[in-house]
Amino acid sequence: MHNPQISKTGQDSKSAVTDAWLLEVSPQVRVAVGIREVLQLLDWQDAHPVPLTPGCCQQVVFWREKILPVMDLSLRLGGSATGCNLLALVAYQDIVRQSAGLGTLMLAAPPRRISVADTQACPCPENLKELALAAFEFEKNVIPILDLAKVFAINPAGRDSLKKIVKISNVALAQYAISN
Amino acid sequence: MRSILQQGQQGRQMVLLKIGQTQLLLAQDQVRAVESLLDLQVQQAQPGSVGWVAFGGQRWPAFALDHELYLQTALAESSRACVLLQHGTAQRLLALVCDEVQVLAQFTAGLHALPDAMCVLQSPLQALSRMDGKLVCLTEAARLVKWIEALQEELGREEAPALDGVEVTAGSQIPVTGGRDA
Repeated sequence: MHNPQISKTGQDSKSAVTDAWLLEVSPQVRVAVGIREVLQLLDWQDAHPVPLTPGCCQQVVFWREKILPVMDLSLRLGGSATGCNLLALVAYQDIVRQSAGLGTLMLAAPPRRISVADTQACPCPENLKELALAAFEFEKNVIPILDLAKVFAINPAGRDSLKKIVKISNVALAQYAISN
Repeated sequence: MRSILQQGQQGRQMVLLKIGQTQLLLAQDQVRAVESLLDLQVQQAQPGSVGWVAFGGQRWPAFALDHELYLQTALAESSRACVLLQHGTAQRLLALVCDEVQVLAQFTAGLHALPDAMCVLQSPLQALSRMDGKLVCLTEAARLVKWIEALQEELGREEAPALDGVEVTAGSQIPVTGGRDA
Protein backbone atom coordinates (compact mmCIF):
# COMPACT_ATOMS: atom_id res chain seq x y z
CA MET A 1 0.00 0.00 0.00
CA HIS A 2 1.26 3.50 -0.71
CA ASN A 3 -0.43 5.25 2.12
CA PRO A 4 1.91 7.13 4.43
CA GLN A 5 -0.63 7.06 7.25
CA ILE A 6 -0.60 3.30 7.55
CA SER A 7 2.51 1.94 9.23
CA LYS A 8 4.57 -0.57 7.35
CA THR A 9 5.61 -3.63 9.23
CA GLY A 10 7.06 -5.60 6.33
CA GLN A 11 10.69 -5.29 5.24
CA ASP A 12 10.36 -6.20 1.58
CA SER A 13 8.80 -3.34 -0.35
CA LYS A 14 7.36 -5.78 -2.88
CA SER A 15 5.34 -7.56 -0.24
CA ALA A 16 5.02 -4.86 2.40
CA VAL A 17 2.36 -5.50 5.00
CA THR A 18 0.71 -2.72 6.93
CA ASP A 19 -1.58 -2.71 9.92
CA ALA A 20 -4.85 -0.84 9.90
CA TRP A 21 -8.17 -0.57 11.68
CA LEU A 22 -11.18 -1.93 9.84
CA LEU A 23 -14.20 0.13 10.83
CA GLU A 24 -17.74 -1.03 10.24
CA VAL A 25 -19.67 2.22 9.86
CA SER A 26 -22.81 0.34 8.87
CA PRO A 27 -23.61 -3.31 8.16
CA GLN A 28 -23.05 -2.51 4.48
CA VAL A 29 -20.09 -0.14 4.67
CA ARG A 30 -16.61 -0.86 5.96
CA VAL A 31 -13.67 1.51 5.78
CA ALA A 32 -10.09 1.49 7.01
CA VAL A 33 -7.90 4.01 8.79
CA GLY A 34 -4.28 3.98 9.83
CA ILE A 35 -3.36 2.11 12.96
CA ARG A 36 -2.34 5.33 14.73
CA GLU A 37 -5.43 7.24 13.73
CA VAL A 38 -7.84 5.61 16.18
CA LEU A 39 -7.10 6.91 19.67
CA GLN A 40 -9.97 5.62 21.75
CA LEU A 41 -13.50 4.26 21.73
CA LEU A 42 -16.24 6.43 23.23
CA ASP A 43 -19.79 5.80 24.33
CA TRP A 44 -22.25 7.14 21.80
CA GLN A 45 -24.79 7.81 24.56
CA ASP A 46 -22.76 10.84 25.58
CA ALA A 47 -23.37 12.67 22.28
CA HIS A 48 -25.18 16.03 22.29
CA PRO A 49 -27.29 17.25 19.34
CA VAL A 50 -26.36 20.53 17.64
CA PRO A 51 -29.08 22.36 15.72
CA LEU A 52 -28.73 23.36 12.07
CA THR A 53 -26.06 20.92 11.10
CA PRO A 54 -25.72 18.59 8.08
CA GLY A 55 -27.57 15.29 8.38
CA CYS A 56 -24.38 13.26 8.60
CA CYS A 57 -22.89 15.31 11.43
CA GLN A 58 -25.47 16.52 13.90
CA GLN A 59 -23.92 15.69 17.27
CA VAL A 60 -20.84 16.42 19.33
CA VAL A 61 -19.15 14.75 22.27
CA PHE A 62 -17.11 16.27 25.05
CA TRP A 63 -13.61 14.87 25.35
CA ARG A 64 -10.85 16.31 27.51
CA GLU A 65 -12.02 19.93 27.39
CA LYS A 66 -12.64 19.61 23.68
CA ILE A 67 -15.87 19.42 21.71
CA LEU A 68 -15.64 16.92 18.87
CA PRO A 69 -17.97 16.30 15.92
CA VAL A 70 -19.70 12.93 15.55
CA MET A 71 -19.69 11.79 11.92
CA ASP A 72 -22.15 9.27 10.53
CA LEU A 73 -20.00 8.17 7.62
CA SER A 74 -22.67 5.88 6.28
CA LEU A 75 -24.96 8.88 5.77
CA ARG A 76 -22.06 10.94 4.45
CA LEU A 77 -21.54 8.30 1.74
CA GLY A 78 -25.20 8.29 0.84
CA GLY A 79 -26.22 5.17 2.75
CA SER A 80 -28.61 4.67 5.63
CA ALA A 81 -27.98 5.88 9.15
CA THR A 82 -25.49 3.92 11.20
CA GLY A 83 -26.98 1.68 13.85
CA CYS A 84 -24.51 3.25 16.19
CA ASN A 85 -23.54 2.06 19.61
CA LEU A 86 -20.02 3.38 19.92
CA LEU A 87 -17.69 6.00 18.53
CA ALA A 88 -14.12 5.82 17.32
CA LEU A 89 -12.13 8.87 18.36
CA VAL A 90 -9.79 9.58 15.46
CA ALA A 91 -6.90 11.97 14.94
CA TYR A 92 -5.64 13.35 11.67
CA GLN A 93 -3.44 16.05 10.25
CA ASP A 94 -5.47 19.16 9.55
CA ILE A 95 -3.58 20.44 6.54
CA VAL A 96 -5.45 23.74 6.36
CA ARG A 97 -4.64 24.72 9.93
CA GLN A 98 -1.33 22.84 10.16
CA SER A 99 -2.46 21.18 13.35
CA ALA A 100 -3.83 17.94 14.67
CA GLY A 101 -7.53 17.44 14.04
CA LEU A 102 -9.85 15.31 16.14
CA GLY A 103 -13.24 13.84 15.42
CA THR A 104 -15.36 10.78 16.05
CA LEU A 105 -16.86 8.22 13.70
CA MET A 106 -20.06 6.33 14.45
CA LEU A 107 -19.44 2.60 14.42
CA ALA A 108 -21.88 -0.26 14.07
CA ALA A 109 -19.37 -2.71 15.56
CA PRO A 110 -16.03 -2.58 17.40
CA PRO A 111 -12.98 -1.90 15.21
CA ARG A 112 -11.00 -4.83 13.94
CA ARG A 113 -7.24 -4.77 13.55
CA ILE A 114 -6.12 -6.18 10.23
CA SER A 115 -2.97 -6.53 8.18
CA VAL A 116 -2.98 -5.45 4.57
CA ALA A 117 -0.44 -6.29 1.89
CA ASP A 118 0.46 -4.15 -1.08
CA THR A 119 -0.83 -6.89 -3.33
CA GLN A 120 -4.36 -6.17 -2.05
CA ALA A 121 -4.38 -2.66 -3.51
CA CYS A 122 -7.21 -2.00 -5.96
CA PRO A 123 -8.87 0.97 -7.65
CA CYS A 124 -11.04 3.10 -5.42
CA PRO A 125 -14.72 3.14 -6.37
CA GLU A 126 -15.78 6.42 -7.94
CA ASN A 127 -18.27 7.27 -5.21
CA LEU A 128 -15.60 6.93 -2.51
CA LYS A 129 -12.79 8.84 -4.20
CA GLU A 130 -13.85 12.08 -2.58
CA LEU A 131 -13.06 10.80 0.91
CA ALA A 132 -10.50 8.06 0.29
CA LEU A 133 -6.74 8.03 -0.07
CA ALA A 134 -6.70 4.58 -1.66
CA ALA A 135 -8.46 1.22 -1.46
CA PHE A 136 -7.72 -2.46 -1.03
CA GLU A 137 -9.52 -5.75 -1.35
CA PHE A 138 -10.39 -7.54 1.83
CA GLU A 139 -12.69 -10.51 2.24
CA LYS A 140 -13.94 -9.97 -1.31
CA ASN A 141 -14.90 -6.37 -0.59
CA VAL A 142 -13.32 -3.09 -1.63
CA ILE A 143 -12.29 -1.20 1.50
CA PRO A 144 -11.50 2.51 1.14
CA ILE A 145 -8.73 4.00 3.28
CA LEU A 146 -10.23 7.17 4.67
CA ASP A 147 -8.71 10.59 4.25
CA LEU A 148 -9.90 11.80 7.64
CA ALA A 149 -8.99 15.42 6.93
CA LYS A 150 -11.52 15.36 4.09
CA VAL A 151 -14.10 13.48 6.13
CA PHE A 152 -14.10 16.25 8.74
CA ALA A 153 -13.70 19.15 6.33
CA ILE A 154 -16.55 21.43 5.30
CA ASN A 155 -19.09 19.39 3.40
CA PRO A 156 -20.42 21.61 0.59
CA ALA A 157 -23.51 19.47 0.10
CA GLY A 158 -24.41 19.68 3.76
CA ARG A 159 -23.37 23.27 4.18
CA ASP A 160 -25.65 24.62 1.49
CA SER A 161 -28.80 22.82 2.42
CA LEU A 162 -31.79 23.94 4.40
CA LYS A 163 -33.34 20.56 4.75
CA LYS A 164 -36.49 21.30 6.61
CA ILE A 165 -39.45 23.27 5.46
CA VAL A 166 -40.85 25.95 7.70
CA LYS A 167 -43.81 24.50 9.49
CA ILE A 168 -46.89 26.62 9.46
CA SER A 169 -49.72 25.65 11.71
CA ASN A 170 -52.23 28.44 11.87
CA VAL A 171 -54.74 26.02 13.35
CA ALA A 172 -52.47 25.44 16.31
CA LEU A 173 -51.86 29.17 16.61
CA ALA A 174 -55.57 29.89 16.64
CA GLN A 175 -56.02 27.28 19.36
CA TYR A 176 -53.40 29.03 21.45
CA ALA A 177 -55.12 32.36 20.97
CA ILE A 178 -58.45 30.94 22.13
CA SER A 179 -56.95 29.26 25.17
CA ASN A 180 -55.36 32.52 26.24
CA MET B 1 -11.49 20.45 14.50
CA ARG B 2 -10.68 24.00 15.48
CA SER B 3 -10.15 24.62 19.14
CA ILE B 4 -9.90 28.37 19.02
CA LEU B 5 -11.18 30.26 21.98
CA GLN B 6 -13.06 33.43 21.40
CA GLN B 7 -11.42 35.36 24.16
CA GLY B 8 -13.67 38.34 23.56
CA GLN B 9 -16.62 36.50 25.08
CA GLN B 10 -14.89 35.14 28.15
CA GLY B 11 -15.58 36.87 31.42
CA ARG B 12 -18.44 38.82 29.86
CA GLN B 13 -21.97 38.90 31.14
CA MET B 14 -23.95 36.53 29.01
CA VAL B 15 -27.51 35.33 28.76
CA LEU B 16 -28.67 31.79 28.19
CA LEU B 17 -31.90 31.32 26.24
CA LYS B 18 -33.40 27.88 26.62
CA ILE B 19 -35.52 26.60 23.76
CA GLY B 20 -36.41 22.99 24.41
CA GLN B 21 -33.12 21.12 24.78
CA THR B 22 -31.23 23.80 22.90
CA GLN B 23 -29.42 26.50 24.84
CA LEU B 24 -28.41 29.68 23.06
CA LEU B 25 -25.73 31.88 24.54
CA LEU B 26 -25.74 35.61 23.80
CA ALA B 27 -23.91 38.62 25.16
CA GLN B 28 -26.13 40.28 27.72
CA ASP B 29 -25.79 43.69 26.08
CA GLN B 30 -27.83 42.36 23.16
CA VAL B 31 -30.84 41.82 25.40
CA ARG B 32 -33.04 44.88 25.58
CA ALA B 33 -35.88 43.42 27.62
CA VAL B 34 -37.52 40.21 28.71
CA GLU B 35 -41.30 40.14 28.55
CA SER B 36 -43.74 37.65 29.93
CA LEU B 37 -45.49 35.55 27.36
CA LEU B 38 -48.70 36.99 28.76
CA ASP B 39 -47.74 40.24 27.03
CA LEU B 40 -47.70 38.55 23.65
CA GLN B 41 -50.54 39.69 21.42
CA VAL B 42 -51.42 36.62 19.41
CA GLN B 43 -54.33 38.08 17.47
CA GLN B 44 -53.66 38.67 13.78
CA ALA B 45 -50.22 37.13 13.95
CA GLN B 46 -48.82 37.06 10.46
CA PRO B 47 -47.51 33.86 8.88
CA GLY B 48 -44.14 32.94 10.29
CA SER B 49 -44.66 34.77 13.56
CA VAL B 50 -46.55 33.92 16.72
CA GLY B 51 -47.85 37.39 17.51
CA TRP B 52 -46.69 40.82 18.51
CA VAL B 53 -44.90 42.39 21.43
CA ALA B 54 -45.19 46.08 22.27
CA PHE B 55 -42.02 47.84 23.31
CA GLY B 56 -40.72 51.37 23.00
CA GLY B 57 -43.83 52.67 21.31
CA GLN B 58 -43.64 50.05 18.60
CA ARG B 59 -44.96 46.57 18.16
CA TRP B 60 -42.57 43.88 17.05
CA PRO B 61 -43.44 40.58 15.41
CA ALA B 62 -42.52 37.78 17.77
CA PHE B 63 -40.93 34.59 16.49
CA ALA B 64 -40.78 31.14 18.01
CA LEU B 65 -38.12 28.62 17.10
CA ASP B 66 -38.08 24.94 17.97
CA HIS B 67 -35.05 23.20 19.46
CA GLU B 68 -33.68 22.74 15.94
CA LEU B 69 -34.05 26.51 15.38
CA TYR B 70 -36.77 26.30 12.77
CA LEU B 71 -39.73 28.64 12.80
CA GLN B 72 -42.81 27.55 14.65
CA THR B 73 -46.18 29.21 14.57
CA ALA B 74 -47.58 27.20 17.44
CA LEU B 75 -46.14 28.06 20.82
CA ALA B 76 -44.67 25.17 22.74
CA GLU B 77 -46.16 24.39 26.14
CA SER B 78 -42.75 25.08 27.66
CA SER B 79 -42.63 28.65 26.29
CA ARG B 80 -42.56 31.18 29.13
CA ALA B 81 -40.87 34.38 27.99
CA CYS B 82 -40.27 36.64 25.04
CA VAL B 83 -36.87 38.22 24.87
CA LEU B 84 -36.24 41.39 22.91
CA LEU B 85 -32.82 41.32 21.29
CA GLN B 86 -31.32 44.42 19.76
CA HIS B 87 -29.38 44.18 16.55
CA GLY B 88 -27.93 46.65 14.13
CA THR B 89 -28.88 49.99 15.52
CA ALA B 90 -30.33 50.20 19.00
CA GLN B 91 -33.75 50.85 17.51
CA ARG B 92 -34.08 47.44 15.85
CA LEU B 93 -35.33 44.58 17.96
CA LEU B 94 -35.96 40.89 17.46
CA ALA B 95 -38.68 39.41 19.64
CA LEU B 96 -37.91 35.76 20.30
CA VAL B 97 -39.98 33.36 22.36
CA CYS B 98 -38.09 31.01 24.64
CA ASP B 99 -38.67 28.72 27.60
CA GLU B 100 -36.33 30.35 30.05
CA VAL B 101 -33.83 33.17 30.29
CA GLN B 102 -30.83 32.80 32.56
CA VAL B 103 -28.32 35.54 33.25
CA LEU B 104 -24.71 34.43 33.59
CA ALA B 105 -22.90 37.06 35.61
CA GLN B 106 -19.49 35.97 34.39
CA PHE B 107 -19.08 33.53 31.57
CA THR B 108 -15.78 31.71 31.91
CA ALA B 109 -16.25 28.47 30.00
CA GLY B 110 -14.09 27.83 26.93
CA LEU B 111 -15.59 28.42 23.52
CA HIS B 112 -14.92 26.13 20.58
CA ALA B 113 -15.51 27.01 16.95
CA LEU B 114 -18.20 24.98 15.25
CA PRO B 115 -16.44 21.98 13.64
CA ASP B 116 -15.99 22.39 9.89
CA ALA B 117 -18.08 19.32 9.12
CA MET B 118 -21.03 20.88 10.96
CA CYS B 119 -21.01 24.21 9.14
CA VAL B 120 -24.19 25.21 7.36
CA LEU B 121 -24.53 28.45 5.45
CA GLN B 122 -26.62 31.02 7.32
CA SER B 123 -26.42 29.07 10.55
CA PRO B 124 -26.68 31.54 13.43
CA LEU B 125 -24.36 29.43 15.56
CA GLN B 126 -20.86 30.82 16.04
CA ALA B 127 -19.29 28.51 18.59
CA LEU B 128 -19.99 25.78 21.11
CA SER B 129 -19.30 25.50 24.78
CA ARG B 130 -19.97 23.25 27.73
CA MET B 131 -21.78 24.35 30.85
CA ASP B 132 -22.69 21.98 33.67
CA GLY B 133 -22.20 19.03 31.35
CA LYS B 134 -24.57 20.44 28.75
CA LEU B 135 -23.92 21.92 25.35
CA VAL B 136 -24.51 25.63 24.79
CA CYS B 137 -24.38 27.38 21.42
CA LEU B 138 -22.98 30.88 21.06
CA THR B 139 -24.91 33.16 18.74
CA GLU B 140 -25.81 36.81 18.39
CA ALA B 141 -28.96 38.72 17.61
CA ALA B 142 -27.89 39.82 14.14
CA ARG B 143 -27.22 36.20 13.17
CA LEU B 144 -30.59 35.09 14.47
CA VAL B 145 -32.23 37.84 12.44
CA LYS B 146 -30.45 36.69 9.28
CA TRP B 147 -31.45 33.11 9.98
CA ILE B 148 -35.10 34.00 10.50
CA GLU B 149 -35.03 36.11 7.35
CA ALA B 150 -33.66 33.11 5.46
CA LEU B 151 -36.48 30.98 6.80
CA GLN B 152 -38.94 33.64 5.80
CA GLU B 153 -37.59 33.62 2.28
CA GLU B 154 -38.28 29.92 2.20
CA LEU B 155 -41.74 30.58 3.53
CA GLY B 156 -42.38 33.10 0.79
CA ARG B 157 -41.78 36.78 0.93
CA GLU B 158 -45.36 37.74 0.30
CA GLU B 159 -46.55 35.80 3.33
CA ALA B 160 -43.87 36.65 5.80
CA PRO B 161 -43.93 39.70 8.03
CA ALA B 162 -41.12 42.19 8.18
CA LEU B 163 -38.92 41.87 11.21
CA ASP B 164 -38.86 45.60 11.79
CA GLY B 165 -41.18 47.15 14.30
CA VAL B 166 -44.34 48.99 13.39
CA GLU B 167 -45.06 52.29 15.01
CA VAL B 168 -48.07 52.21 17.25
CA THR B 169 -50.70 54.75 16.35
CA ALA B 170 -54.22 55.39 17.54
CA GLY B 171 -55.56 53.54 14.53
CA SER B 172 -53.42 50.46 14.93
CA GLN B 173 -55.28 47.23 14.36
CA ILE B 174 -53.30 45.40 17.02
CA PRO B 175 -54.18 46.46 20.54
CA VAL B 176 -51.10 47.40 22.48
CA THR B 177 -51.36 46.38 26.09
CA GLY B 178 -49.02 45.08 28.67
CA GLY B 179 -45.84 46.09 26.90
CA ARG B 180 -43.14 47.84 28.84
CA ASP B 181 -41.84 51.03 27.39
CA ALA B 182 -38.16 51.60 26.99
